[in-house]
Amino acid sequence: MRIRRTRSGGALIDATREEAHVLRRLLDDVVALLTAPDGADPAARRLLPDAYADDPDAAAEFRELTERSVSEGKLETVRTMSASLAGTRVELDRETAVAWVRALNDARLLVATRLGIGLDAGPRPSADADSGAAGRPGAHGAAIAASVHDPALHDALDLLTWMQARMLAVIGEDL
Amino acid sequence: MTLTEERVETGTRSSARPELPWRTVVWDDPVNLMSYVAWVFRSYFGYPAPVAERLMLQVHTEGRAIVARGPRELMERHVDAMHGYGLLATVERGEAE
Repeated sequence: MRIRRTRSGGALIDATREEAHVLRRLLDDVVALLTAPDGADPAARRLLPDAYADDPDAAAEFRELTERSVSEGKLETVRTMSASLAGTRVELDRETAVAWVRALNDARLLVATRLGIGLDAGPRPSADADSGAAGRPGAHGAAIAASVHDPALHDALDLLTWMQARMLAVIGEDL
Repeated sequence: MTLTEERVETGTRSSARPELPWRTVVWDDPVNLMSYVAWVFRSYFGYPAPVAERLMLQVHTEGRAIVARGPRELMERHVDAMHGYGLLATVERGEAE
């Protein structure tokens, strides 16, 4: 894969057929997850997390009000990426490139969760706020420890991570 | 009746402490890229790059950072937006400082 910046501030993507195929499959997975979110699925909980840490009632009430709009926003972003992923060379305008950056993130979150990465991330009870963060190996993708052995899924995560980092480098400087 | 109610309301107002602002808290997670988190803070909140960078590093090293303060409804909108971007975020009631 190769990703370059275009003169208009978008991105030019050259992918192999295999890469394009993998990306389409991953995006389909994200769509399936968001179309029928299952609260018992860690990936659904990760893409649609609670908005209140210490108040389950407020979290449930808020989820009732906004979960649909959050997931619909994500679906629209993913569908924007899917629609533009035709063939192995695609030129993205800036707005579509931004959609790619966001959709790639949800795909990364889904794959990482399936690999058992980051399952304990997020709010912790305020009581251990002092001890919680410092000792954890939070590495923002640098040295993440996976608990599931699945080479294909690891390869998918590597591809998504490389793409997102490269897309950010290409379009991230000017907003 | 009306007069009494007004007095009660006035009394309540003058004795109540001003409403403490709520907060938008973003939590660390090992998946989101540091460059992405900083980009979200720039894109969504419009923070200058140095501010976005500082907040991102605070999330990374301290496990969480307060990225906005204000009325509850606004903080809820921010948290929704952060979830839209894939960041772990919660609404939190501010404490007296």
